[in-house]
Amino acid sequence: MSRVNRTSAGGRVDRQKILNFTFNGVRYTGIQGDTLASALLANGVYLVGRSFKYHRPRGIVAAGAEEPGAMVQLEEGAETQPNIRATQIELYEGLKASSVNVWPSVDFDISAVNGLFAKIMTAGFYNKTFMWPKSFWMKFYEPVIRRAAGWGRAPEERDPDLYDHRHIHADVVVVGAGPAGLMAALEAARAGARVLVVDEQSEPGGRLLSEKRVIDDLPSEEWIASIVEELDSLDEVTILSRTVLFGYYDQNYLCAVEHRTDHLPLANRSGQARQRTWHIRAKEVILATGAHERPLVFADNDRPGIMLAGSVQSYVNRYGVLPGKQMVLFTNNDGAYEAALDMKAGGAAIKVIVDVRKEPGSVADEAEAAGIEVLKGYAITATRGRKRISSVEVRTVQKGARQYTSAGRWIECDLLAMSGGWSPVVHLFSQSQGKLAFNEEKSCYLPDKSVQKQRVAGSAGGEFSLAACLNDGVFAGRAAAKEAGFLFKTPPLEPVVEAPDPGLPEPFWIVPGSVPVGEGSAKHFVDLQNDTTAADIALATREGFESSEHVKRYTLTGFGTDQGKTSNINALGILSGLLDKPMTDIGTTTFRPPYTPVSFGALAGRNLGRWSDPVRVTSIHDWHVDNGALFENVGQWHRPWYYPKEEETMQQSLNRECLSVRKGVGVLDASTLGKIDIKGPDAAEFLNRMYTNAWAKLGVGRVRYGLMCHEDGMVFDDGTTARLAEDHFLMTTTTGNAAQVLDWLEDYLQTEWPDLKVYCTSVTEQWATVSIAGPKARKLLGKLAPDMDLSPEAFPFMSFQEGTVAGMEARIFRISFTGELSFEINVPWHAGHALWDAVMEAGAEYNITPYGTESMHILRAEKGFIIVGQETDGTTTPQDLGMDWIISKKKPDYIGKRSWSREDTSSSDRKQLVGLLTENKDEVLPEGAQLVFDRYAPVPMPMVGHVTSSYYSAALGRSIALALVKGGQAKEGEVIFAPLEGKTVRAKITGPVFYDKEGEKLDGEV
Amino acid sequence: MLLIKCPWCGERPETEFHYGGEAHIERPENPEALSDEEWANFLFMRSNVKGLFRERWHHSNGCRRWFNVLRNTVSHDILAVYRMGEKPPVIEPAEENR
Amino acid sequence: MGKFEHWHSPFEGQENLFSDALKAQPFTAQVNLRGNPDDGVFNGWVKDSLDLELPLEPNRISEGKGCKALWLGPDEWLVIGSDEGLASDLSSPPDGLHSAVTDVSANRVILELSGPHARDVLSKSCELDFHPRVFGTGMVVQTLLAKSQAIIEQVGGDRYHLYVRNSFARYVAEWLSDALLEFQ
Repeated sequence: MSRVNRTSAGGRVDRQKILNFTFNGVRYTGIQGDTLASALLANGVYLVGRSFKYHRPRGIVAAGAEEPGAMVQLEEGAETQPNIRATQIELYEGLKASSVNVWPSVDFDISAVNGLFAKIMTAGFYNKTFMWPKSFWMKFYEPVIRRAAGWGRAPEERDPDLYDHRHIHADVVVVGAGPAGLMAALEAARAGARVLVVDEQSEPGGRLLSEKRVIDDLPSEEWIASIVEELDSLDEVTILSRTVLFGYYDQNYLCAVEHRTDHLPLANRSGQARQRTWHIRAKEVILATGAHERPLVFADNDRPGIMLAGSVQSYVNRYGVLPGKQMVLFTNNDGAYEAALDMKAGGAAIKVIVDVRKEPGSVADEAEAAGIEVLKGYAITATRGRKRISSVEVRTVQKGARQYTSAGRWIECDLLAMSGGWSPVVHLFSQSQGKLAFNEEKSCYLPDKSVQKQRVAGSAGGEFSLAACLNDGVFAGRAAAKEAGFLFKTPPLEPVVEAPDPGLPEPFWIVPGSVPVGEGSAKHFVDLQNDTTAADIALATREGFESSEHVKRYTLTGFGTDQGKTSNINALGILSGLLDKPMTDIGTTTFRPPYTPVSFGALAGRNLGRWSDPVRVTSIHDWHVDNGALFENVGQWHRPWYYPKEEETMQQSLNRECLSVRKGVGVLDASTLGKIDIKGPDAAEFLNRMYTNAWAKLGVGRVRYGLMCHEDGMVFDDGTTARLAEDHFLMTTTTGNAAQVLDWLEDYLQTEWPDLKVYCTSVTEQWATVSIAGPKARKLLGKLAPDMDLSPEAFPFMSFQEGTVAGMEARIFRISFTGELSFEINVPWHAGHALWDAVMEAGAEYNITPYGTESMHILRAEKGFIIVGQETDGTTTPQDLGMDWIISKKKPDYIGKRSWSREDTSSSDRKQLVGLLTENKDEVLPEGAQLVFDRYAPVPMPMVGHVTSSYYSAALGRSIALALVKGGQAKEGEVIFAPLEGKTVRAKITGPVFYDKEGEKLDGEV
Repeated sequence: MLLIKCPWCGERPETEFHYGGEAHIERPENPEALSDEEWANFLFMRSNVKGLFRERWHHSNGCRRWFNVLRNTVSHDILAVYRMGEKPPVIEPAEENR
Repeated sequence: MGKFEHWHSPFEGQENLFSDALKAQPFTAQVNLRGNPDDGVFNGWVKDSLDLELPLEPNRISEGKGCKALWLGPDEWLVIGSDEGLASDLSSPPDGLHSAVTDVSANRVILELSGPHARDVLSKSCELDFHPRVFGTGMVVQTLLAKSQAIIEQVGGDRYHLYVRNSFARYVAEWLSDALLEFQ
């Protein structure tokens, strides 16, 4: 079969450029400018898929985003995309597509038996059917239903394409490049505004591309070209075609997805982003989003070959395709007659025009003059044709009757074009929180109360004639530009048009047949995507679901990728009839983003894999990489975790690293610690209020450990702070909390105590920190800093000095997180690597061993030092941690203090930090393990705490753990159990310090 | 995604800011003098209004200033921003009811 | 001993990231300056020390002899200078003046993004508007660039200096070099 339905000339297609494509394994050709839908129709392919629930044959209904049914699986393998509308796929050379919802094939669909069970698959069937026996649900019903229902297949391979995001700012954003949008854009642009035009189609023009019009004495396509040419010539205008504005959020923040390469052959797409998400900030927005035609609801209105009249017009005028050769038109308005006339001009036979109105406008006379039979006051009451429509039954309309008893007449046809009037595309307006109101005269929902800086122009606002759309655009463009602060030098555009008046439709929400709706075998589809019928809506109301929002959820109308573009209004019209309430009282449902589906790739943009989050590294990072370190994520930092040597297990590496610190000297890259420079005459007083201990008397050159709490008394951060001068301190914070601590300090300085004279400056990345620890640390540093007196007397624990280390000016802090003699050497960040190299070289004779975060954790746990976020979880007080020694009793007020006397925080039954020693010394408890006192207690067992840290300690030759246990501080020596999967581990409660309880190692080898 | 006008830097996207909860909750001068209940009120009780709400924001990725915002929690409209220590602006009821 | 003698740029070995449109700048002296701009003593001292009027208008820079000051906040500036001794120029404030001078020469690296697509690359990396109608030479912002804190200064027609904290430097440079690909 070869393009049997192509007209001889005309349209926005290039008949010279032949494109090959495959649908359901069959090869076809189309031409440049086709969509997949137009190419299929040109080839005489009407059956493109099966419906969601009943697996009924379905064809192409529309020509754009409103298409409810013709969804296909596009391409294969990693490139595959499910549920793409054939009407929105621009044809390209080599395209491959297949039907969704079909198995084994679209022509023979085994699941069509679902249709036989239609009686039990009515509205709410998910909730009511298949509920018994319960155990069958997971094993049987759900898998079977999921296979039989549902749409296309998600890709199983990694998406090979690139995506990205861009931000754009505009004075006026125009959504839709139809006649209203183009006028609005031109007016605003002439005023000098930065204008962004977003249009979903491959070229500007909107509905004008489908209708034969003359504007300002130019055929519409030439008129469009002239407008676009002027827009393109203006520097501040951006036109984004193939771009769907899918989300409209607060404060005129809009998101659009641009399809940059989807229209190109796969081979030509590489190297550039396939789709780009635009984040748009607009001062003013003009919604010129047009209108969607509505179907009519009648018996078996879903057969392939039943299409929207305006879409039929698009196919013949824009794509040069006759979707049928024997057409019947079914309408309730004047505007649709043009489709019949255009089809006739294209070469199709018009069998009959069926108009529900007894007195249509003058267009009926024109049609009759052209030799077309017009049946006035008639409706279509039945259809026939298995895989394509073959005939329709017409009867005279009997207003208000549940069934039509008038005589039926069957008319043969291969195309039924229908029009129930047009629905303004109010989706984005609704997303922007604007309120909709039903307009009785125009029988449609129109934008009513707007809450953002926006305007609606053209048919989106209910102006259905071309002249009114153009004028509306002019007005909106000028008003928006003025609102954005631009003055006009040019008079308003006054386009002159020749176009027929489409008139207004006569609402006709449902057409019964010879039997009432819901009786007999015929189905009156309301939502073709979700297979919702008029009978389903009736059932919902009988079962008590009367609100439009409830009916939507019970019947699924307006759900899915379609979001009710063609179905919502008919569902509401039918509901209005069932409840005998006017449309104005029914209310519509809310439209939600996205307007049309957006791929996950476009949403993610470049924020994937290596780009998903910033990776922070120190100046010594390359050394760690070159020396085989494995890395651990600490916040955004990549820190060396441990440095395995060949053949070593992880535990062997940790044992080696830890023992080197305990017996020789180890080195740690501690550059990631947060560092805040605190300066001012009130700096000491400020620290007094922020930390739990006292700072006023700390001598210059001395260092003190501090705990920071929130007002609720819970530990929030810890670290050491050095007094560099009387009015000058250097605070360190934990790696993960650096930014939060600075924000916290600024909070109090700026809001609670603005009278304090203190300035805080982050210097985290000014300083690289190389920490050497172990009994030989002094000897090592002595080699590097021969001019310094490092003796315990001259350089005592918890003090700092400035000096020259390996030829570099350095700040050296004698503090310890391991319990061993330790110096933290700080040099400017960029000198960190040079210092590290010098330390490694000088340390070679002591067998210096670099250690990572895991060994650091073990070493500090051996000493019972806490890690904020591990031993604490935001509900832990200093007292819970046994750190009463750091709580000032003398200071009258500081952050956290008042909360400790609250009933709950002062209770003796709180979870408190203890050490745990397992009975079996080789048993390492899992961190997070829950603890119980009574191992035989019935399930659910009363849990009394959990393990916070747990390691194997090489220095002690056994496992150690820290835990938070209810009332634990008074339970030293008692037994506690950790019930694990398959076993229960017995442990003894101890104090949290396991190693060198007397602190005899601090001075190292003197 | 809100656009928030920092009283110093001008309009900036929400991603540059951190939220700081309800504004004008003053830390008591002498916490020790308060009953547990009064202290708990300061610590935990917030007004959680539907409508106009005074709240604190921190321009943490910008000028590092804390400031106040008057926001409608229903519409997300920001009606005013003002610096720490400044009095909250009085908003006409008509605007409030929007 | 030169101040930068032992310093190594985070971009050593990363030369493949750079091009005409994206370049790493050499080390410069950088000082974070805090003080009350309403205090004449503070202003006078800064002017005497640096021969520079601090910018008081947000998002602006001002230039002095051999140095310039970037507005970071109502009481905070980043002073950039070619002279390594910049911090010592400010080392002795008048008695009783509350101010803070912090040497941050090693705290950030500076990248230069330039050329006809500089703004396009910024739009892929930052939410702010750099259109000439709202931003221009002599203006500076602190914001997020590639999800990382950054200071962005327009130093000329289509030239921008991006001040990025060291630990983020490679991530940001890699991000920008990737964002540039479509324009090369």
